[in-house]
Amino acid sequence: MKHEEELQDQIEQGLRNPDSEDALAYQRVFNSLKKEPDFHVSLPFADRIVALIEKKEDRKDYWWIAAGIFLSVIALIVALALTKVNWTTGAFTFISEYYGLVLFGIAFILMLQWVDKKVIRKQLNLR
Amino acid sequence: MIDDKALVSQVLSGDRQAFRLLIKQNERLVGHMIARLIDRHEDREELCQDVFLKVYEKLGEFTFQSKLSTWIATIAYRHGINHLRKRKILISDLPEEESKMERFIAIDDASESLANQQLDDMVLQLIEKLPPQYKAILTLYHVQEMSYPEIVEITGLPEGTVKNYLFRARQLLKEKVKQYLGKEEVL
Repeated sequence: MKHEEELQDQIEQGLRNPDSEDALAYQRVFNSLKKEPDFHVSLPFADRIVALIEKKEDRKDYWWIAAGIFLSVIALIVALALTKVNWTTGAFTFISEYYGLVLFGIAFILMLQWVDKKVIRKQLNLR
Repeated sequence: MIDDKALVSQVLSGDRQAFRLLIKQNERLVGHMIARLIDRHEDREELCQDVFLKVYEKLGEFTFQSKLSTWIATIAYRHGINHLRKRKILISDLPEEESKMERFIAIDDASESLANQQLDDMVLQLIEKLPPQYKAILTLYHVQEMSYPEIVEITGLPEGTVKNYLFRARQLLKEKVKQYLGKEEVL
């Protein structure tokens, strides 16, 4: 065992010529062991993984949006119930008079979010 | 070449291009590890993919105690071993007795089937027949040229066991090669 260990070390470090059957066999083994396994990942491998990650994160984003909308609705209902709101005062009068403007504002903010997510962030990641 | 810290911090800040670079830098390492552990070709690419998805998921937990490549190899090794365990494949079942060890990688029709094959191919065939942990250690040491401490970290095995597996595997391979070379000389 000790002899075998020494022989392996000597052949590996190139300290000994293959002067015996064992030494020659070890040298051939060490040469073969350096050969890489015959396997390569496909060419668009990295792109495919990044696409999978983006898909996963998109799905996560939708869950957060859904949870956010749900909690906002709950919060609104609770707030209305607790404050006994008067629908004819303040901001509500403004909303009823300019509902077109309010709708445009909401649509504009949503569009900005969409452009940021789909165009700007994607461009930054491609750089 | 970008260093590990900068690369990790770019990936964590959401830079996809940096993650592509991380994959490209380590895909050979992961590929070799998975290819040596997993014999089913159809499973290999999917497992490599899973390894990198896990790397992305866990990258925030990487503490730079080791090289990034060592950490990634650890994930690849564990993922491969878990896959084998699910398929109920024994991980390190090389018998202790020399005679049984020889039988483990015996090639019954060596003279016939190996007559026209290159020696390298024969050694690679024999490596395929070794238990997964032996194959992983041989690959990390000889192909990836990793040090013992790195292999210990990746496999979670004691250094003595790593050295012993390496020694036994090489000795087994040497015996088969010697046998083959002997036959070649007679012919």
